[in-house]
Amino acid sequence: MQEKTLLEVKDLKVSFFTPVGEVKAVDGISYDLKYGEVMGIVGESGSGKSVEAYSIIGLLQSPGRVVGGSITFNGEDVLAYNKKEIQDFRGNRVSMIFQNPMTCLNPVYTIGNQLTEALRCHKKISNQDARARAVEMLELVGINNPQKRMKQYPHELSGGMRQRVMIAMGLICDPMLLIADEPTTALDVTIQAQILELMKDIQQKTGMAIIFITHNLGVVADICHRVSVMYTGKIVEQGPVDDIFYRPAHPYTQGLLRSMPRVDAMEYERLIPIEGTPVDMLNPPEGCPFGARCQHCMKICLRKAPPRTEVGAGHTASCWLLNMEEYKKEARDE
Amino acid sequence: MSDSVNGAARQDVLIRVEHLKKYFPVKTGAMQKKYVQAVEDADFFIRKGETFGLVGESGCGKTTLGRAILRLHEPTEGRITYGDQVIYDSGGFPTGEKDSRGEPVLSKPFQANMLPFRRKMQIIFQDPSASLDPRMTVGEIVGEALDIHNLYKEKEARRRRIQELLVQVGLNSEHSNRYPHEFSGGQQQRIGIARALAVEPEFIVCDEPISALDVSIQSQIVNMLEDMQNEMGLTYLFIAHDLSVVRHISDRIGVMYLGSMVELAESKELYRNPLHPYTKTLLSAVPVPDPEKSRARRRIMLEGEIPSPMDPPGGCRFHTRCPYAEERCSREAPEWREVGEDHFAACHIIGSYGV
Repeated sequence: MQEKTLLEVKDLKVSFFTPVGEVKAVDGISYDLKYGEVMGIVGESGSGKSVEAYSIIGLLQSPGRVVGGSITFNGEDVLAYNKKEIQDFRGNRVSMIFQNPMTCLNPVYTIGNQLTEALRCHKKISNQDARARAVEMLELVGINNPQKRMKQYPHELSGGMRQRVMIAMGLICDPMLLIADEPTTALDVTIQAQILELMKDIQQKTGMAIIFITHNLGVVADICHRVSVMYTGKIVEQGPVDDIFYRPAHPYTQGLLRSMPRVDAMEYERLIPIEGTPVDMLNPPEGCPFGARCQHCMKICLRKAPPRTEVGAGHTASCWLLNMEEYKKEARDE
Repeated sequence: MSDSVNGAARQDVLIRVEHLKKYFPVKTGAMQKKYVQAVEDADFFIRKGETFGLVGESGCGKTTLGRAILRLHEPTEGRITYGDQVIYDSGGFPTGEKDSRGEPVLSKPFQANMLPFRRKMQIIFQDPSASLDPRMTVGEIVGEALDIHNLYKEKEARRRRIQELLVQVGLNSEHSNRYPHEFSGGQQQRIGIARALAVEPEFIVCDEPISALDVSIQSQIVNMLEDMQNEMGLTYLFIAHDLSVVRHISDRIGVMYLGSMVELAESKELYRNPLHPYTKTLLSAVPVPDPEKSRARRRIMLEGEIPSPMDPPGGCRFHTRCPYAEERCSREAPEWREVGEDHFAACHIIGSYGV
């Protein structure tokens, strides 16, 4: 990992303009990612973690739109790219692997065809060289007999194999950043373990940065250097992986960790759930989005969103409890 | 299964499954017929008031086994006993009686009328939105079972019972006039649970009841299932692929691989002392939400993928991927035997290397 920043996201806001109103799917998130760093983004369904990734790579679809903020990749403003530039950027310098390998591969083309297509779109390369490179990539992701696989169609492969092909496709142009959107969620635990080992291995070999989106905290602990916890479109806590797991500061992160049964638990302990239900994104509450479900909720939490507060080296969280000075100032003003 | 265990447990056994098989026919060609061997020779019992966990990867037959016990899938072979009543018997099991010549009498094929058993045995499904009829109100969904079993003849009593059920699962009594789509996933699952509870069952098959839910909602449902069990003395068959949840909720756990049960033990024992190579692999593959433990841990990696259940490997079904496989494993299927106190496994090599 280097100290130079590869990707900087600043106050990014993405909204979906639906017939029933505006949904602020991503509501002012900021983070930066260093070269070769693995950042985990955790959150429940609807917390905006995938939308955020789609906006980096320019795959946001109508009625979704970036309404504010900036994305800077390697010193360039991604949001200012025109259509041609974004096509060159996507798949070449940044690529993405998706949750469901069944639906993300084209059923009517062979594996070899789809792998070389990515390469020939972005690089001046002969068909023969492209095929050689594709075979090499299939070997790298641990697919045996790659020559034969090149001629096969996606339906002839198992789920784990297809995810490997997806990874090979994502890596074929040597991207600087790989966005992995729940790459192991659809897989069984033993296959998930294989894919995680593979991704760690490749990351160490190539030194690319990874944004790893998942809702599984166990997977995060395994592969990530840094973690952002998202809740209703906001990053509520962010920090090095050890801080998040051993010194969680935000009540939501604490609640998530407490509510999970652990396979390595010594004794039976009753789970402590987070009460309530996720926020309705069409009518988000005022103030802290987690307020209504938080056991420490104060009056101010329901009125005003808490500021981001530094609680450790590179570890920030947005909660009034962590920032008593601001809280007192606010309380005085009333 | 040894006699001592059978004898000791006979009093409180609620469900006994013996040599249960379920094959699904698949047409592979004009004249050919093959079978998916979804469940092969399952043999176990569930005690009254306990939670029996069933884990395994997708396609290992755990859901089929759960449904076959309820006879939602008609078993191909075997015997299922509920309490002391046989609900399915394909014949050929010793009845314990002897005929005039002193030969043991074998049971005749028998299929019980399930309607009275449906009051006692219920199921909660995995996908809460797909298992609720979108055109019925919540009150109709929960009340349907009451009508089928003729439980509440007075309208007012029936209405009160439905409201009581909704409150019991953490919903409001006014919710009975709404439709399923108006609820979140966690609430829909609560409706599914209320429907199962309506007939006051003794036994509930929970078929991956929380896999479709968000992490923060999962623990709410798990706690509710535990509370209900304590209050009503329910017995659960809890099917899931998430080993941490199964370990948390279950008293005993069965591990399945490719249609066969490979290991069965008390939940603590299984996690502390897994004996079957597949169980060991499965446990080592579960991600632990603890970065330091995660870094320190050595994973047992399995080669390859699960073979097709249409054409399972001969001998031990796991031998193609087992790191310890010997020559004999591909020849003969291992016997299902007791390897420790209340701990069963099917593997040739257990015991041979001090494993």
